[in-house]
Order: sequence, then structure tokens, then C-alpha cells
Amino acid sequence: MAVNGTVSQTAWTDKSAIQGTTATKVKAVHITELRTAVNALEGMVNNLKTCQAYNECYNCKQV
Amino acid sequence: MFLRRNINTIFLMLGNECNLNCKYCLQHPLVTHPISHEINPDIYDFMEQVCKENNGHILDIRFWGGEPLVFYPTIQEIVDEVKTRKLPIRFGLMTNGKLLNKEMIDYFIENNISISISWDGPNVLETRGYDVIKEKKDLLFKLPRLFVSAVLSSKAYPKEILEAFQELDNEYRETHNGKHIGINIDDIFNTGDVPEELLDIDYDRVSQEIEEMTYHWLDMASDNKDLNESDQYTKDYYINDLFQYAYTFYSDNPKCNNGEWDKYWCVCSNGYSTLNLGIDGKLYPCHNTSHSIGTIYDPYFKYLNNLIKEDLTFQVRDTCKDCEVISYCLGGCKMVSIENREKTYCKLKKAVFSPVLKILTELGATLNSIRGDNNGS
Repeated sequence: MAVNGTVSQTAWTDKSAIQGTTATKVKAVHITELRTAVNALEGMVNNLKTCQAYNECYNCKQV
Repeated sequence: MFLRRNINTIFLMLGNECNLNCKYCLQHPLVTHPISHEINPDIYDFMEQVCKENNGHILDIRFWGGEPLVFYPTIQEIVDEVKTRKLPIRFGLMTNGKLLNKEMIDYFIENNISISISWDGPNVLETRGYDVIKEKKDLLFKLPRLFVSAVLSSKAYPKEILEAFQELDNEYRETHNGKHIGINIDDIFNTGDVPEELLDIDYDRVSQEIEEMTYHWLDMASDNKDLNESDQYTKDYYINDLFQYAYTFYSDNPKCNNGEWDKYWCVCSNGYSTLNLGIDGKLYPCHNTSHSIGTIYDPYFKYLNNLIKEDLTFQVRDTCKDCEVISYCLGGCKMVSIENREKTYCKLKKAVFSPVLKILTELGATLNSIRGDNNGS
């Protein structure tokens, strides 16, 4: 029988504890323009959702 | 919240033997010895435990080699046992297709096992030495859903791959009620000994092709056209996939990253939410290596410690955070050395994704300008 040890409660698995504080800021070149563009195209993104067996978005893979 | 294993995918490593010898195979330098072909029955208990931890979500099991069809009897044995146990598991495999026969196709259809075929388009003989579409197309078209996956290299550029995919898609749709094939293009990886001839890529050509296709995709998106009806479906689909990376990274949608890189381990999640499990119960940091870092019997923290120690992502983080295409590669493959990143890997990532970023930036600047004008008036 596979044994993997007892899981224990931790603070650092709470994503809200790190969001906006320790996430790495990437180089902010054109970030405003990029955010505007992707948000403007969001409706299309929903229509064109492309998840498939071998190519999920990396956020979905964390679920 | 609890620190629990958060596993959505298991690559089940059946063995590392293969019946082809593809020039770009990233396993060549990473596989130093054979892995076991013997099933340890405890892996079923392990998979059952993982399923229970996932609160009933479907677990993806991907049969992996070498070439997985070399181990077809093992696949059958595992599928039968999982069915007997009624586990919430979905199966898939990626194959070169050379061993495919009607019995296998019928079995995969009957058991809802999704199949992805490796095929690089017109120059496939130069990269893989075997043209599965030429040899097995009729058999492959029996599948209710067909996925094809190519590798971008100096022998296979994006447009020629996607045009070959388009021909295949047109033909497949005729006999499948208009259903499209699934497509994917991986950028070539050099994990150590990929021949220089395949890495001698014309990066300008890659960028020009992708720029042209991105403008076409943007026209389609702006006109609110249905991607499924596009006469350049495979090209639009590929660009749409690239766009997803930008969207996921830059959007302020709560599910997205709002321009921040908040993931600290390798982007593929191999070893973390994606496990790489040998059928004897050994665990690996990646399904393309023969180097084990633990077993299913190890305490999870011990295994995790071994995994993190070898994750190159931590070493390259400072460099990657200032890179313009971080939203695409997200730190990249942990199996590619820093030296090989500098030689080709990062250049290709930039060649592929910079045109998409450039066009989105232009669009965003135009929209901001219009909004600014409107606010001013």
C-alpha cells in the first residue's frame, strides 16, 4: 500500500497570502497596452477557448 | 487550506524503448538506462489515493514511452484494472503511430482513450524518418477525435506545418460531420544532443510567418467570426493558442495573472501537479528522463524536497523576469540547461511570441489613445 504521510495545515498554500505581495513583477514594458488589448479581446477568448487534451492553459492545470 | 498533493495528471511511464529514432528526441540525452517494465500492483492503490484527494475530479493518465504502443499489452492490463476499480480516470497517449493497427484503434475507441499523433508535416521524413499520415491515415481517420502534434525546427516552420495540418483537417472534416482535428506545435527543445542542422533556425522567418498569421487572426477576432468556420482554421487556432498565453498572463480577470509571474516552479508542473510515475512505483521529475527522485512509498515532503532541488526554474528566475516573452515560456523547460537556453531555446521562444506581443501592444496603444481622446472631449 502506498503511504505518503499525513498532510498538515500550512499558511503558505493559501494563495491569497502571497498574491500581490511576493509575486514577481515582470518588466513592465507595454504592460498597460497589453492588458488593454487582452481585456478588449476577452469576449473572443471565451468564444475561442482552446483547451484540449494535450494543451491546457497553465492556470487551468493548477486546479 | 491544506498542503495536499494537487495532482491532475499522471504520466505513466511504461518503458523508454522506442521503435523510431527521431533526430530531435529530447529523451536521447536524458535517458541513461532502461526503466522497469514490470507493473507493481501498488500503483493502483496509489492512483486510487490520488483520485480520492482530487475530490472526484477526473484524473488524466497519459501512457508514455519511449513509444507507448511498444507496451500495448501493459496498456490493456492497466486500463482493465482501472475499469474494475471504477476510478475516475481518463486515458490518453501520444504515439508515433508506426505500430498502430485496427485492433488497437478499436480498443482505444471502445475505451475512450484519446490519441495524439506526432507528425511534422511535409518534411517529416527528415525529422522523424517515418510519415505516419502517409502510412496510416485511413486507420487514424477511424478515430472520433484526432490530435496531431508537430515540432517546430529548421526542417519544419510554422506555416508549412499548419498548411499541412489544414489539408488533413479538411479531409478529416469531410468524414466526421465537420469536426476539426486537434493541433499542437511544440518549439524544439535541446536537452543536450539535438543535431545542429535542426537548430539552425531562421528566426526572422519564424517571426514573419507568425506576424502575418497574427494579423489574420486579429481580423477574424475583431470581426467576431467563428474560428470553427475559418478557412485558415489551423493557423487561426495556433495563433489563438498563443494569444491565450498573453491573455492568461496579462488580463486582470481574477483567474489570470494581471501581469505578475506568481508561479515559482517549472511551468509544466512536472513532479508537482503532474506526476511522472514508473509502473514499478518510481517517481521522476519529468517523464522524459530515466533519473528517479523517489517512489510512491516515500513521504511526500521527502519526494518534494528532491524535486525542488533539481528544478532549474529557480536558478533562471532573475533572468526570466526581465524577458519580454515571459508570458509565453514562463521560465521554460527545466530540462534545458542554461547554456542551451542561451544558444537556441530562448531565441526561438522570442521569435515565436514577440510578433504576437507586438501586435497586441499596437492594439492596446490604439485603444488607449481612443479612450484618452474620448475622456478628453
